[in-house]
Amino acid sequence: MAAALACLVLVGAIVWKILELSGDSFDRFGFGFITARSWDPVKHVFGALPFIYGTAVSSLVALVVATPQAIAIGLYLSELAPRGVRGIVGSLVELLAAIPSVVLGLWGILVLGPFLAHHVEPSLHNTLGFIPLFGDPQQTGQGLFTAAVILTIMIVPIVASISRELFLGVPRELEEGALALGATRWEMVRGVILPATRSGIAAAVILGLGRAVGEAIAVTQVIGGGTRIGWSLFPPADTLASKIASSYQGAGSGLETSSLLYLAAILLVLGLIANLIAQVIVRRFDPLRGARS
Amino acid sequence: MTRDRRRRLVNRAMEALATLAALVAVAVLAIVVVSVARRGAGAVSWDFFTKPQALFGQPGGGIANALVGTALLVLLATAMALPVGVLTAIYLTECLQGSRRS
Repeated sequence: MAAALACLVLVGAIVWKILELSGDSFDRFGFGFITARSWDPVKHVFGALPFIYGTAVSSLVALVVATPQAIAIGLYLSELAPRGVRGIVGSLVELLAAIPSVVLGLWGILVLGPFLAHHVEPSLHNTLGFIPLFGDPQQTGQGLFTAAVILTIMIVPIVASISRELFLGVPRELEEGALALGATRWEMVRGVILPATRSGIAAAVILGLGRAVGEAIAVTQVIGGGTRIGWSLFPPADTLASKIASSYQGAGSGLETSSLLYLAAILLVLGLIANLIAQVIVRRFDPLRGARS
Repeated sequence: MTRDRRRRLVNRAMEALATLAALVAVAVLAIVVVSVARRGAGAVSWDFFTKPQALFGQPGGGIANALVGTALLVLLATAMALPVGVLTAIYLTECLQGSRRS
């Protein structure tokens, strides 16, 4: 019990300290900090909006790309793959989650960034340039888009292995019942497996979102840094986590440090909210729960 | 008949997509590992693992200090986390009888 208490006390102490240290900045800027757009250490004006924007965009893009792919992988591993392939591909996908994020970030700088900058971004701009999301390509490969791709690579294995477990947990009789009624395998997936596991999938996605929002080092390495807010996905930006990671060491004034901790507090609140939502979803909307317990 | 064919086609397409998704993930893993290994291969030697970092500006040197540091860090963290973690788990499963466990 002391150990369990120690965990709670530790969390409490961290939260309290962050709030205390961000007090200076809070006194100065109040809640206006959240919507202020400039981050200027020279003039002592700080605002969080560019970083909230960067966090939101990079995580959402990553999530939109990663979710369908991860679910498809989960389906492949649980329903389609032959027995021998299943174990190999499954553990390879989990290996993808085992790549340290620093290594992934380094790879992002050296390989992925230049590749995206010279091949993917120009072609997206040329073919889909009428959508404002795909603006002028970057030369360096450092930017929001690269960060989103890196985040996608980090989320996919997590969501995929959770959804594989979920799909394997669907009762065999339900699946066989659907097949016996003449449904094709896809109809069985859409009619039985996905409805039965949708709350779990939602929770897995939110878990992935939490990972994407909180990821610091890999994003810091590839996102470039900047406070621009705009439609295009390609220019450099910053997320809450990457701004903290890249600026804390060099923070020039007490107010800047305090503002960085204010960013940390925002990040903490976002993480808490994501976790709570995930738990509520799992509790409330699990159709199999009644049958299982 | 055509409806049946369409259902079968959709099924086939979805199966192909799911397989493709798994292939893409494995391919990404392969690309990351291969490109990191290829770029790093030139630096790997016995000295690289056994010598400490060279003084600033000097050539040579290795990552011995980083290896030892990582090992110590992991050891210390595990030594601190293991008792607390196990005790917390015991508390959650054994001492909270009757309350809702999740």
